[in-house]
Amino acid sequence: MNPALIFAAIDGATAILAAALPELAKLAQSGTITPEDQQARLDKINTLRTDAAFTGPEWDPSGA
Amino acid sequence: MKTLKLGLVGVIGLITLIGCAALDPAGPYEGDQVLYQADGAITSSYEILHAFAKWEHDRRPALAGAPEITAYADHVRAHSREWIASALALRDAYALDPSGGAQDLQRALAILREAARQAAQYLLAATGTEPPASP
Repeated sequence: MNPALIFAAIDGATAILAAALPELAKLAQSGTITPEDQQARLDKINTLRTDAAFTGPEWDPSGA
Repeated sequence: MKTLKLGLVGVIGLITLIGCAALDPAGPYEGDQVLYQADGAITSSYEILHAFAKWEHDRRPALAGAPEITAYADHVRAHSREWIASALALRDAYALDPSGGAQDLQRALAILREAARQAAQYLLAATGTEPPASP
């Protein structure tokens, strides 16, 4: 396998996980969660009710 | 880089973590921790599943030697919508009547969390942080 492709896959995975960490860390937050933060979570959950959440080439079967 | 990897190792643990922060009762959740945590589990699981599907799609040529990853990505593509829809339906039922349905909601969340955990393990394996998981 082309080493450049392998490194591209590794870098991509690292970037994805690094980007996901702040969102995941919110699950462990302490203190008081403000109404604004609560509304942001509610807004996010409502985006998952739309077709757009599952639209895009990444959601198409690979055909493998 | 070491710090990043240590952080990445925590991802799988965070997927199943239950938060302990207090909710301002003036917020839209009106102090309902179960609903707030359920929504957090649903959205974070979706983010991981989506990121995994996109990562596999964008780097499929590089992953040709690992067909199990593409197979799992296709499993995620085939079922994510129903997993999320089921969790949302049970979440909405719980929101309307918190006295019942919490166990059904927890079961739906467990399915989502397991799918996200598996996807995260594949991503972590690709970074060399963890060994590949069994499909």
